[in-house]
Amino acid sequence: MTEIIIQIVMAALGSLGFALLYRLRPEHLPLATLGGAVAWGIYLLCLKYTENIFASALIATVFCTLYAELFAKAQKTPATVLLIPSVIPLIPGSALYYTMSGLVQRNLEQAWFYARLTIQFALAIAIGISLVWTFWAILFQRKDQPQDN
Amino acid sequence: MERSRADAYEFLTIALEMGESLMACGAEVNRVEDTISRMGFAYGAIEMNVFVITTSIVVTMELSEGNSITLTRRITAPLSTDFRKLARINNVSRHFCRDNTPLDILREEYEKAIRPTTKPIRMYIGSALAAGAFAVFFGGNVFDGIIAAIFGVLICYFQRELSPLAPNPIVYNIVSSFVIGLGVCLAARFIPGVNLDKIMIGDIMLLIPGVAMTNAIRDILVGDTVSGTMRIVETVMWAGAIAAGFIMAYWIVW
Repeated sequence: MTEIIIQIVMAALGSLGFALLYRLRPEHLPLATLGGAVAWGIYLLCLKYTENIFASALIATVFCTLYAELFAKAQKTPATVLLIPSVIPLIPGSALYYTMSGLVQRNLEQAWFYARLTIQFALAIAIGISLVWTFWAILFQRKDQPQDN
Repeated sequence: MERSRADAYEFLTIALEMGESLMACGAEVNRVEDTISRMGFAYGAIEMNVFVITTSIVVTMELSEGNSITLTRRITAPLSTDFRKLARINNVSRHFCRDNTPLDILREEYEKAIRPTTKPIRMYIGSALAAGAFAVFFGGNVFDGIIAAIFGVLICYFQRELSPLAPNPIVYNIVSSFVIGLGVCLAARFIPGVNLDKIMIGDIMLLIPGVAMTNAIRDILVGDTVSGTMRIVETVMWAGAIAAGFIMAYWIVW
């Protein structure tokens, strides 16, 4: 349990760090921090019930994207502003590192295992974002399209 | 309203500059296309053809039947993610689309939007915080976090001061990851109780183009195949350069 709490707190701090690095406005920093914590929380929760990394990362990303889009609608700013910092904890930094170190140490089994993990996360994030975008576009975009486009 | 060609030319130049700035702040390809196209329609064009990839923008604006302007812009500005600037430029374009502001005011608002947004110190803090937090997040102890944070500051310094000097991102990534790797390996070698891999992972989170990679796959999924593939190739090469830098450092120390 402590491990889970540490992970969630660190995910939140990591998101805050990236939000600072990407120069978010100060009033948006708490939202980005919360986004990171909730993203990782949802991921862990889904992982517990589904035991499927891809599905869990996908669901967490869908949440982040909805969160960012709602924020964008309310604040009239681009959704990316909140989306990228929130989704950061799902970026497979450690899997990528172990892929690399596996290759260096000629441990191809390890490298292949982590390479698959990296790809799973990257795909889950990208598909999650695209899914929400598509539905969002169908729901909201049509009325403010310019002219006969 | 009938617009003169010179006026339209000036408008399109500003629109392209805005597109280029958006790209440099970390906007998605389809946002840049969308922004330029909406601004064109708001200006009074009857047809806008905008093609954007990560390194170039091509726009043909048709003002009336048989009267069109085409401009091309090669994007060379390095990516420096700045979401505050992104939001500001976005506001300028929204304002233009809503009120069709005169061009001199558009130009003025745009120049105001691209002024530097924050003090560097915030970026250093962010960098240290992100590296430290992710070192612990991925299973490191407190010392791993602190060391990762210290090197996080160094990475931020490199990204701000060194990357504009480097001839291209690949060389820059090899050099910076080699220097960082050397530092981390030495620290892990001589300070007892710290984990090399966790510190590396914390710092790699700052270096890897994870966001760019995700953007690339997303570009492909939403149909911008050309820019998506370009960006994937770019990011894979960057990741390779980072790996190469770290490997060299690792071999020297161990």
